[in-house]
Amino acid sequence: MPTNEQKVKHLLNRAGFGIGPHEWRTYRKLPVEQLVDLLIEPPVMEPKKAETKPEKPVVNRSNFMELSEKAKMELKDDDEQRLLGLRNGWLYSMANAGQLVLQEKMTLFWHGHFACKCRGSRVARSYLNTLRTYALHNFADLLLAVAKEPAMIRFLNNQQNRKESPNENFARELLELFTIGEGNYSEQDIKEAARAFTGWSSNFDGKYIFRRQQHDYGHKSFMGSTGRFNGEDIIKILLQQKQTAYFVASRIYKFFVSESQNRAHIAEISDVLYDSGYDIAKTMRHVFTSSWFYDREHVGSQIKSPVELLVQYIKLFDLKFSNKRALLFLQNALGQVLFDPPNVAGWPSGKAWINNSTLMLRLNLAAYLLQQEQMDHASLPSLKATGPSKIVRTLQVQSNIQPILDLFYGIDYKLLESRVQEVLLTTTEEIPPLITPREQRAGEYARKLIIRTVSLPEFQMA
Amino acid sequence: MDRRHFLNRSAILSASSFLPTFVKRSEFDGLEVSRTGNVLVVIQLSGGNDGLNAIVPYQDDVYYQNRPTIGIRPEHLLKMSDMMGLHPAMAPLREIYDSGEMTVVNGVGYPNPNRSHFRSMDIWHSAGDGHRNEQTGWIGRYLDSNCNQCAVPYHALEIGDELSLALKGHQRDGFAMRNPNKLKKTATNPFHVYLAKNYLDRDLGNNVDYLYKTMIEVQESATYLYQQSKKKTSRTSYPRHPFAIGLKQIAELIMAGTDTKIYYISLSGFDTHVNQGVRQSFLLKNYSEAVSAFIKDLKANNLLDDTLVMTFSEFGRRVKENGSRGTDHGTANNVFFFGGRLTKPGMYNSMTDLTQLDQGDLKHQVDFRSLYASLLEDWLGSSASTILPGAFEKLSIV
Repeated sequence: MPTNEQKVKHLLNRAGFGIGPHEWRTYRKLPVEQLVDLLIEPPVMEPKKAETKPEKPVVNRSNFMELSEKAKMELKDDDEQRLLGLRNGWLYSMANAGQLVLQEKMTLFWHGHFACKCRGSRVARSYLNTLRTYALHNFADLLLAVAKEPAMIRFLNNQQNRKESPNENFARELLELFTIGEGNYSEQDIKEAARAFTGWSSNFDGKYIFRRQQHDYGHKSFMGSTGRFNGEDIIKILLQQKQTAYFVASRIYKFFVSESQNRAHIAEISDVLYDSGYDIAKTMRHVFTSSWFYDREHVGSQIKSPVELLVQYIKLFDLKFSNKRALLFLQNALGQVLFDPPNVAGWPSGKAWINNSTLMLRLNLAAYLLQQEQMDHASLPSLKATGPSKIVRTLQVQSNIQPILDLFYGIDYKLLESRVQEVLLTTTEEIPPLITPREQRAGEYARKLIIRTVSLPEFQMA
Repeated sequence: MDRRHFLNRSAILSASSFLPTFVKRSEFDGLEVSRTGNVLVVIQLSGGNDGLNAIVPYQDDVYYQNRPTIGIRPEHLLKMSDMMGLHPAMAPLREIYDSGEMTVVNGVGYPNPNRSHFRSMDIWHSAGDGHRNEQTGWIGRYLDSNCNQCAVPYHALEIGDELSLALKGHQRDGFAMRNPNKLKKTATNPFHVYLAKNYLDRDLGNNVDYLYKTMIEVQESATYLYQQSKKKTSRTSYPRHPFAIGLKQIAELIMAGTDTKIYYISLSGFDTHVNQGVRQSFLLKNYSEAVSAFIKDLKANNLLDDTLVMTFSEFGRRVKENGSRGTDHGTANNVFFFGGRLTKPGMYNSMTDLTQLDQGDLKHQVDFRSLYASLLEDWLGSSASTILPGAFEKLSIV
């Protein structure tokens, strides 16, 4: 049986973004059941809202058209900066989530589930706030809210879904990837669902709008029922299908528990989800209180996603980048950019994160972030956009290793390696000595030890 | 030797360095593997090269009617046939074309063309049917079916920092590298070499195991490619921009007999919506000078018969120019082949009809997957049906 400390660590890896110095101090002695309570029902329930600076000139459709090319470019650049700010802000709210960490983790999960490339900061902000607001509440509300998100409407061409010329893109993904899953609907269901969502559109300001004249008010036959269905009716019918709960449960299981699917465990999650009327908090409580969640085979079995890895680095070492684009560069190079999933199916996970260049970047990340070692990467020079004009070869980041060092203050050097590994790693397999006898004699090796520990392949695991 | 003992013996430490020199040098020296069979070099022009201004149908009035400001006048073109002329910036390729070492296939595309750069590039990479969710590419699947037993991943090598979708397979991925010296530096730092040497292959089949195995594979590949890159130095003079340096790198690796079947390299910036003339000339000049040097280099080393080069772009551009002396995203495009054993040098097929457009765009005559099928079967000796989605009629490229 794993110890309470091991359970706490596993829970924080999966329900959060790994252990930071603060979490280790605060939670490692807390009985894991109490930690689950705290994460599911944190004392402060008001989620953070993503904000961007107010826009300077008020632009609407008519005066946008009259702008000069130059002015349009400036607006575009300004908006790119806002999107960059949202992205960086999101990473830091994950890192500084405190007791709202599960909410942030769920938000990231839903971003992968309702994968959406967001073009423009206004729709991106609205989409993110919706994911956050409903992240731990009710899946039915979340689904409906996402279906009305302008970012999603535009990404899946529902803007072009009109009575005379239906566009099936949104309807197809709604069934295939958001609710019931492939193989559980007919092509006719998709056609009928698309008709029901005609007119769900967005305006120039990036707000949801129902375009009455584009909506098909006729009868539709969907999954065995017939009526003058609109989009909300379609969503209700989908939620009545037990298969929808099963499909969502299988995605939860894959993200929070294991890549290899266990039908019995997924069925349990599915039952809780369905019977609770799609209550996400109740469902997650079931996952985190099940004994199988803490099974040895699951602990440390997942390869951290790039976002999880970056967020944990920020937490562990209090990273502050002087170049606003540095985190975007890292997300890109590691293969996961927020607001920019590869397609509507979201990010392929597990081994798919790994290829020769992403792995070596992951293993050398500590050297680049904490030692300011020079990197060799073609897109690095683009970082100089906001810095001095000399060619950029380092990430220009401030770090603070002291809080994590403090955890090991006064520990005998003979125990130090195993203590550091206890905090930072999940593995129980033997690791070769990371500090040589000569380094031990020289003293002050704790810092090196920490840097080497996070440079281990084992640190990539959660 | 136990770990502690090894450590004591080999540790050469520097107190100030990030990572100690646990080992004096990599122990991966001594890999001697050589290539057998043909080499394929894929060049990607990213952004959508305007093929209609690269290979110009100068006898066609419709071309000049659609392109009053950016159309290239006949007197500026290098005539390739009584119908077609080469963009003046592509002059370095003229000689290669004349000596029968270049084939142009016109009108290459696919049904229901997608005009998004990313989507269309994904379609070319995956060789899929335009349906989303493609996670593997045609070269990656070639590795899956032909290289399942390969010990190393560099049988398909991309010159670049990140691995493209084209080179990702279900079981095997290709390898990405911009520069063998720097690769060796990042892949074989002493700490990670030390870990590799102390790695006990428990063969657990879990993800940590996978990371270790990948890390060791990268270290071995880095060492091998570094050694290979030192074996031969090209005597041909190449331009000094990164794309040309990349091609020179490839030439030197081929000369060294490197066990790499497919090389992949990109040149980007072809998204010419505004003032296309200067921009495209600059890019085509860079492209042509570099490719010309590469072909001459291979020829001088008697390697051109073993090599086939394919150049593609994710789409061509709109036939009609836009209001900014540029062109918007289009559909079908020309694909260039270079090599010493081309079946049909010159114009492979006639120019796509400029009067038979689909919403202002060219209709494709050749499905790009037909080209892949030809390369896979006739050049790489593989079976196309296991790699491509469905059967595609082959062309006689080689």
